[in-house]
Amino acid sequence: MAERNRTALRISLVAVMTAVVAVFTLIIRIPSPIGGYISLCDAAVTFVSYAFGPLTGLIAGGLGSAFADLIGGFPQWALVSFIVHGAEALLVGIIAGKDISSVLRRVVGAVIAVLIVSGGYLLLTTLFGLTVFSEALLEVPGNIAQSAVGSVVGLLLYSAVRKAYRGLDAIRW
Amino acid sequence: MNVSSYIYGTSFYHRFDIRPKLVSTLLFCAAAFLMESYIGFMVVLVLPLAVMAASVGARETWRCWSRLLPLFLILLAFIPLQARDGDVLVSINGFAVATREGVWMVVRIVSRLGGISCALMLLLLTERNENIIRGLRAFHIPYAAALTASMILRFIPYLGMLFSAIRDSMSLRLEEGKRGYPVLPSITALAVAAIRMIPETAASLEERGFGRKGRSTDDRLPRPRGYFLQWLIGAIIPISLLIVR
Repeated sequence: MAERNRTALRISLVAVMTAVVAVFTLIIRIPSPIGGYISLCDAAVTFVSYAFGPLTGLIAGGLGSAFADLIGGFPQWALVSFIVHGAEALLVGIIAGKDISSVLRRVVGAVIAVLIVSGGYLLLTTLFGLTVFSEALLEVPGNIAQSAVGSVVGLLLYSAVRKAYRGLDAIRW
Repeated sequence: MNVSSYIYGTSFYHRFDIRPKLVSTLLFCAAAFLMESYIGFMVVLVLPLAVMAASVGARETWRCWSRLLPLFLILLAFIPLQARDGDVLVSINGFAVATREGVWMVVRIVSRLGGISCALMLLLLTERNENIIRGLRAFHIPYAAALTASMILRFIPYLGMLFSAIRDSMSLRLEEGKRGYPVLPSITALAVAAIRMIPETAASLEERGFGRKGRSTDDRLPRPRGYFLQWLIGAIIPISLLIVR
């Protein structure tokens, strides 16, 4: 495929997957006590990283969650979400590599996702002065649950999509 | 699912050009982090709130603010109890309920969070998405990045509607009397439908001339009347905040 076609495909891939992450984040939202919310965001981020690699995951995961925050009425979290979910997608994608059949890789990926999301929100919301450390701690259990469940759902989703759409590797970045 | 927060209006802020509006919003957010006095905190909190109320009305302003209130209440309830070192303002039987430092911390966080949220919501409520993208293009954001952003904003409502249709049809498959919808099959169907769109979208970009040399359309923004005055106002407010802080 010519480089020009490849660029068009990459732009389409990033745009569609970013929209998927944003829609997954917006469809199910359970408000949390400190003004954020629990969603399917991590499931989408993990799925995109597994299906299309770390770079697509980084852009789509980070941008998708930031767009969802901006659209969904939580603009103050957009920058934090971009950094945290972008980093989550990047690392999960790198760990998973091209062969995600390894159980060890899946487990390590899920643990990394939990650590990044819970630790990232805790540190960055405090660092950016959006809340204080003790209040951000209240969010940690919710974030751990969201990212742990999200990693499992993301993997299940990847397996299901792979069966339903055979040409997944052809559009991988 | 409604992707655009834009509310039609003819207020002063609606008519403000997107370029000074973007810069002013960014400068205001930066200024919110640098405030060092109660007056500064008050201005950061009240100014965007007043502009929002004047631009989109009290009802919409309340709708945006009501989302932040639970957080503010938690901050008000807990921070003074945790920050108990320093000058005691209120004490019960020798137990420091509120200190000057604790109150300072609450006011600082509430003003910053409220001010930044309000400023960003104000931008989204008074400007169409496509204008925001054109505004970013005016600051030399690369064409591919602006194109991707505009595509994202078009795909989000489409996929949202698609998900609603999938969810409704999936809910019909449940046993009679049961409510809800099967989440995993529904999101799988959405993901597959989205992935199928990727090669088609790439092909349509190609057909529309993506990658060809030369610009086929002019996406430059015209300069409205009072453009320089708008820049002046957009810059003066956050800069004054930085001086007063």
